[in-house]
Amino acid sequence: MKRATKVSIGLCFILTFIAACGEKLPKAPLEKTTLQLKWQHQSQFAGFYLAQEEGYYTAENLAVEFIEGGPGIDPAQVVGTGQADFGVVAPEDVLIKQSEGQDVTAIATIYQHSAVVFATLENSGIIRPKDFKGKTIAALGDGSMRDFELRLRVLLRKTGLDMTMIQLVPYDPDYKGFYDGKVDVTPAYLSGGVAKMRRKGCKLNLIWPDDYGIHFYSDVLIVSRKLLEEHSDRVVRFVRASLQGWRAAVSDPDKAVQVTMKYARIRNPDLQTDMMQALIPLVHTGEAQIGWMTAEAWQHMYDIMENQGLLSAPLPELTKVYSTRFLETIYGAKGQ
Amino acid sequence: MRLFGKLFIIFLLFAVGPAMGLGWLAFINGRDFITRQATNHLVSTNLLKIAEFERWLDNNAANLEILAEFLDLQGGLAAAVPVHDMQDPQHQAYHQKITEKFLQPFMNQSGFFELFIMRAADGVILLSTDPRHEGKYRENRRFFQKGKTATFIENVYYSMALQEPAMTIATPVKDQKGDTIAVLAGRLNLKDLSEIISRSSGLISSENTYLVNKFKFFITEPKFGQGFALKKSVFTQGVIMALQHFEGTGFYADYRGIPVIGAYKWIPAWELCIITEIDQAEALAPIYLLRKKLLMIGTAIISICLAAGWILARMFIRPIRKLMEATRGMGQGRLSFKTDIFSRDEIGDLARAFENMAERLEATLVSRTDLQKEVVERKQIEAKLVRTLDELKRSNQDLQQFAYTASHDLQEPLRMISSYSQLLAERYQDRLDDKAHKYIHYAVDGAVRMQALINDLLAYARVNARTKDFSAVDSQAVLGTALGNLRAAIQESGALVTNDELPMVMADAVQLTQVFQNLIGNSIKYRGKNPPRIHISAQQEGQNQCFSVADNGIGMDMQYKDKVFAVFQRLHTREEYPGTGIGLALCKRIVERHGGEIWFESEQGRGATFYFTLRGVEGLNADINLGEQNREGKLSIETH
Repeated sequence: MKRATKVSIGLCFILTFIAACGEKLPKAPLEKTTLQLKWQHQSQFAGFYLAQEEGYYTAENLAVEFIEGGPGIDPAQVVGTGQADFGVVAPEDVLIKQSEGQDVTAIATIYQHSAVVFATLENSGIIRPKDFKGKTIAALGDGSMRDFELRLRVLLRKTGLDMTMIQLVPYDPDYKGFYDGKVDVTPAYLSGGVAKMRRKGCKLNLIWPDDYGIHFYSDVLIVSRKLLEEHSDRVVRFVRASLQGWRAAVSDPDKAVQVTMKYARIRNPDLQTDMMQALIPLVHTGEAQIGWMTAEAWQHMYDIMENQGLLSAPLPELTKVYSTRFLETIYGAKGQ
Repeated sequence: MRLFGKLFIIFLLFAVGPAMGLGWLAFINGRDFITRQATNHLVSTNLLKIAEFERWLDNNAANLEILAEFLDLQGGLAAAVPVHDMQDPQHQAYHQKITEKFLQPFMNQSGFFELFIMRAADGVILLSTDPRHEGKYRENRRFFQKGKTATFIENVYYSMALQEPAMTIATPVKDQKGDTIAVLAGRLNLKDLSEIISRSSGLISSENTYLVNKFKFFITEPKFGQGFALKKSVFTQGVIMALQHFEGTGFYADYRGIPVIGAYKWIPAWELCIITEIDQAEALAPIYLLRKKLLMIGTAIISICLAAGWILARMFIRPIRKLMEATRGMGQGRLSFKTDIFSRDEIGDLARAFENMAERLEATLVSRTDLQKEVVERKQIEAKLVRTLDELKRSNQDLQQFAYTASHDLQEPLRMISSYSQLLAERYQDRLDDKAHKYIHYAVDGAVRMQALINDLLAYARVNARTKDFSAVDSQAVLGTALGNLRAAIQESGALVTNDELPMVMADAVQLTQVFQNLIGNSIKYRGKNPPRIHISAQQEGQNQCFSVADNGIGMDMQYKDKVFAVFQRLHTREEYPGTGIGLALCKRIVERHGGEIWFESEQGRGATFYFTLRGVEGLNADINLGEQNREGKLSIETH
């Protein structure tokens, strides 16, 4: 009895000692990594902010730096040239960059549906793509705004129209022409411009390309092929923490907005809340796990891009364009 | 701990222990029963809700199928399908006919809030009860793809068109030939579903049933919270268990963080979890009530036990405490007391025995006190005596000193008187007549006598003043010295002095010589007509030696037995027998100084025997021998 007590006390000491040592062992330094955002700081990226602020990245031993996007910045280019490890871009960009020979790969999609809509004033009578004929549309752009123009081209072709039948003018993120009536149709993000315009008091008709057989992801997470192959462990950790952040954002939009306000350029919490409310259904559809991608969806996007002749060279296979193995690692093979 | 505390705690334990044990048992039993009842209720609620959910879906699906059949029977749709140009008046006519005659009335009496018909070929919406959606394509939607072949119920998803979660049922519409020409779809109002699922019996206000999809998002609105469907995810223990396809119940915190009892079940057909929860606070309220009651009863019991224990402990302790106080009193000397304990039990006996003991102790102590008092008194007297003695000694010494000084200082003027008187007689012998010579003779004689008196007085005073310590003295040798000193008188009187063997005594040899000399001298002086015969002997009387000096002199009356020993007291005139009258006084003083006594026996004309006692050396022999040896030792050392 006595002996047993002594032995157990001894064990306790040893275990405590080991535990103490374990605590004192210096943690490996955080791995630095960078995320190139598609646009300026706003609710659109709330999940990433949450992952940062709630310590999900730190828990995965990552120190993430956000690089803001904006006019004139091509995020896919930044990632493709290795200036950033990860990026948030439009899926079209991934396909285009791949066809141009730049190796960036989509590893998750933040938005299951495209957030791109074409907005018209409610009393304009423009409620379907067919109504675009002869109208002034502010969809001309490049860099991160290129998807507006691309989407318009596809939508027009799908409707039986072409670019010659409309008046194409440059996209204006401030929508001045639209408010003044000089522009009839403007593309916008459901989670961005639409919220802004509605805040201004505009009553809008929204024409969603998805309703017309054009199914695109929006805001996909990309990584350079190099990082993907050489540091796939870091990629898994980054994706896992980011998606955890997005799940938290969907679960608690108020908090997501609160955290976003630390970053947001437009310091209007009501606007950011509107954006947040708009993007939640795009992120979480109820049909799949957050971030989940399917081969069919990518094939569909590729087919559209290919058919429209928007790719400089056809891609014989899409394995380089996207990779679901990280999602499968995180969620299991079936994404459940 | 004090005995009182111990007793008190023991009483308390005996009383409270069983009460608490029973209370605990009752509580546990009650809790188990109530918990079992609650979980049973939750599990059955889940089963009922699943049944209701499926019936709701089946009813709606069946109704939709009937409508599809009906559309087909009318045959109108088949003609409309290929046209699809919203500007075409013919289409508009069909549109109006079908929506107004079929879709709208049906919708009004069903659970659908939107009905629409898609062309089988490309999924375009031909017509809808909500015209805004007409012309849109649904070719990639599962309800369209699956609905082309058979009735399909699409699980809850977020509808972008509706901007809210939706469930859609789709069923094929076939033409006369049996080919699918279109798909009829209806969107179900999820508010109805939420209502069905969350509707509770009302008996338990916190009862909360909801569905959660496999992505852990709410499908129906739970009772507490709005706008949760597909917007809030839930990670409670119940959901996690259900997603692992377990069925059961548990105690955990729900999505609000409130502790609940929950029943969870996985519905494989719909890949949904059904969760029914009730707040633990409400479910366990009866238990809490029971616990409260038990606690109250327990508290009451404990209070009573406290009081009873206190009283009992006091009852036991009070006599003991009294005894203790009595004991303490005894310690402080209070022996007469009553403990006031009259009980007939052991403590009573103890108290009485104790009282007895105290009584007897008191008696003993009283006699002791008396003795002590006497001792004290005696000591006081003794001290007084010692004091008196000291005073006496001091005054005596003073007196002696005075006498000595006086007699010594008196001699000088006296010598001058006698010297100058004699000088006067010699120098003026011729010029003085006989009468003058006679007067001078008287003066000288007086001076000489006074000198003798003073000398004697000085000797008397010296007995105590200039003394040596006593030592062992051979009285035989001392007698020899005395007789030597008296040789002239003996020869002149023709006295015969005899003696027995005399012992060793403790004495001052010089003084003892004086005693013998005085006594023998007196015997010679007061002789009768016959030559004096004097015998000296000694006899041991205990530790003392009793010397006797017997003569055949004139003797004296025993009435003077005291007077003869007084200073300057004489029985005869100076003319009859010369002397100062100090001899016997001196003897007495010397003997008394030696601790002895002196007396005489005599008859007028028949001689006298003087006795005196001195301390013998028998008891001190050993000491003396030892002393002599030492002296010899010393001598031998000096010789060396």
